[in-house]
Amino acid sequence: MCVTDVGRVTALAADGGSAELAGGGPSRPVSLAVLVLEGVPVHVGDWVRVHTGLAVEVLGEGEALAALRAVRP
Amino acid sequence: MSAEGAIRFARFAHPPNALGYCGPSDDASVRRLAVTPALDAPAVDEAEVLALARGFEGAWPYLELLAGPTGDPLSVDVVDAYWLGGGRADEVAADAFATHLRDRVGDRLGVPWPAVEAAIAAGGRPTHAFHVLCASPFVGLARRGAIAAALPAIEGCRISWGEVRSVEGTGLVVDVVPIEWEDGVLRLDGARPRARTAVAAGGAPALSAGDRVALHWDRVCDRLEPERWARLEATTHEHLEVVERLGPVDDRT
Repeated sequence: MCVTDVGRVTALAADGGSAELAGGGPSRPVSLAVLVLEGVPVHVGDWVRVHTGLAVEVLGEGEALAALRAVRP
Repeated sequence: MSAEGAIRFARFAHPPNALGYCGPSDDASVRRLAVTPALDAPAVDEAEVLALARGFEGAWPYLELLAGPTGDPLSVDVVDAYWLGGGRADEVAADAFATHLRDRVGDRLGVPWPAVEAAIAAGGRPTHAFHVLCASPFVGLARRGAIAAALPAIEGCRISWGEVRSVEGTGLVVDVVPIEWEDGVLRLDGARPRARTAVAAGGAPALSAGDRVALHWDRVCDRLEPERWARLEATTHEHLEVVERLGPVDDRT
């Protein structure tokens, strides 16, 4: 029942396992477990695609903004 | 609008909403609806409830499809068909399902549209099991190796079923048939139910040991009579078979 969300990382937890997102809605926490397992580095300022509270992919800015338009037209 | 169906919808929808995963940001209103006793259904505010339900952007398109153009998306039949499968979900033509889903929410699903379309052609039905297993990114993530993150998401997000072993206040221990990832395949291990700690979400009927229940994100949504239990079990199996039949697809978003 959940659909894709897109947000920008504004803060990382000290253990690197979670992040705070902004953009496209209120600030919200997200798990980085998938990206950690896949060895994908995440930095403050990165855009990520989120599903059910899990960041599943790091997006380029152009791709993120296009996805954001689809999420919140 | 069926207030009884709306309450039932909210009982299943509230757990992920409370976790902030989906649905409207007004979690308190969803919870209030979920805990409304069935006897108080006539007091439910129709406009408010419809606005809340539409806020579940993933679920609402399925409910609309199951209801048909003139039906009630929150009728008990529609709500059960979405959460448990069977019934109306078995009556929707595959091409109508594909067209509706693509037009309503195709660019917001967790896998690319061609993979979703293939899952519909392979037997996927407009149900929550389909959404979790065939239209969300978890199976693809597991196949890419992120099993430790994907499997708990699948377990939490799917509607699982189990038998209450014990009750203490609002806490329960429920024997649940778990989903496991074995040799690159998702399987339900029916031979080995596992004890899981769950919470009796507000509004769920009073429970006792031996009751059979539905769970969403480890919250009990409802008691399951044998017919609804069988529908949920069959639908979950059917969609696991769809996933296995399709095999790896290009499921990167």
